[in-house]
Amino acid sequence: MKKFKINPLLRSMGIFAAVAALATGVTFAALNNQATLSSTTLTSATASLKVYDFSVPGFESTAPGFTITGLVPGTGVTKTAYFQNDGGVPLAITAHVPTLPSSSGFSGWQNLTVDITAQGCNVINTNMLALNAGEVDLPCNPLAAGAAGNSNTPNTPGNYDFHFDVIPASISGSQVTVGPFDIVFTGTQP
Amino acid sequence: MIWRYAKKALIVLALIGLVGVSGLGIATKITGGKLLSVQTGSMVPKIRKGDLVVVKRVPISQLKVGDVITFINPTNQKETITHRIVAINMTPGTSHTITTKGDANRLADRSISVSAVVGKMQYKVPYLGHVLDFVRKPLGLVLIIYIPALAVIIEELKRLSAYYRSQQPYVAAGYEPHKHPKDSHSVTSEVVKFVIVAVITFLLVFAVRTHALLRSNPATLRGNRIFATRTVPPVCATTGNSTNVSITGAGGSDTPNNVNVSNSNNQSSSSGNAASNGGGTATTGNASNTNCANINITITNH
Repeated sequence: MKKFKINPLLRSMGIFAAVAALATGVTFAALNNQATLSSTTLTSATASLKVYDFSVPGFESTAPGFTITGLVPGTGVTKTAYFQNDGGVPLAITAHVPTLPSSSGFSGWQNLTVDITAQGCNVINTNMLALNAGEVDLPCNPLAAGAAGNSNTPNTPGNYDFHFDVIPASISGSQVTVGPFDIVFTGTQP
Repeated sequence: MIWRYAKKALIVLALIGLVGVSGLGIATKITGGKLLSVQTGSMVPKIRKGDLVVVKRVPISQLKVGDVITFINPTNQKETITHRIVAINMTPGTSHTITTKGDANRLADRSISVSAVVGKMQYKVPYLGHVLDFVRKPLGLVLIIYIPALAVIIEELKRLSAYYRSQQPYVAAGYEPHKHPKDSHSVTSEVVKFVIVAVITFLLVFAVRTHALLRSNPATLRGNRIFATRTVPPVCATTGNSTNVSITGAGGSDTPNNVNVSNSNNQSSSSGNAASNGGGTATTGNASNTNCANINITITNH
């Protein structure tokens, strides 16, 4: 192979420039993606979410829902659901009501409010209209892999309080009846 | 001798790899495509974590159910997701939406607007995404970029120093200055270096990552029911009506019963004299009550 002489100074300058460009470009690319890097540590392909069924008892994919009687409009009633992240990745949980149920005694699904709380996190204020329109994030997302709520231990990750209430001004009769309806919870890898 | 051949073989292999990768990268860019390194495994077995996929923007009319597309994550605009189309929803009068699902997921994703689609997957290169991801990590940066970069700079400084030493004019007559064996380089070797630098930089800057979002099964609370009872306000003696007060007393024409009616809470009130009615029943006094407040009635018999 025929060799050509290159001015050593020019050659060195070129190499220094190329190395500097490489280091700068690579560092920029790496730093630019730092926010996404944190979510790339997942290695498992399993994602499983369960809810506690007191009738079994145990965590299942389906459980009997809440039956709320004697709810006083303006005061509301709180019920707790217990979830288990049974997979290998953290899950950001959402709630969704796929189908609005029959109802009587009040008007406007936005007037059936649902406040969702979990210990140490902001309250999520939503209502049946929003729950039907899309998926509503639960507080304290994501639920860590392996975490499981516990009815005997308040404030355990996986315990979620649902405060149902009916805005008094929306009531047209003396009795409000809602249901039955399903609440579907889904976990998504963040 | 063996080491020399092994070294040459390694260099040739590296060059073949680099030429292949650079060819892939350049061809992708020229054709308007994107390189994406897959971060998660929800498209297993079709696409695995660490694969490099090449996507290309295509007209929406060319997308069909079964295609694997990359789209912007609706909940995190910085991320892209690569999943398979399971439904294309075309509702007259509204914008089209696409529903996707990871092959390894049990549930479909939320529907996305067609404007979120980055492109359709053309093909994949197994494992190459791992290499790019490793270089992006601090350890990868140090091992693959910074240390070699430092070594190149040191070596180049040595060469430069040796060259200038060899150019010193005060060497003794007849002395043949030591010629550094590497101070003369072929253009080819320099070009190879620049190609390596350019390819790595190109790949790191332009190859972005894509996520194959994992989605869990649904956990359902079935048959929720709510029964609420409206609270009934307490029954008032009179609400919005006049209160008639009947007084039976021994008033007289000259000693009338004096009736005072007073309401609390700023309600209207009235008072008056209970006129004698021939020694019989005397009545007077009206009070309007609107919010169930107590009505105090004072009777003074004169």
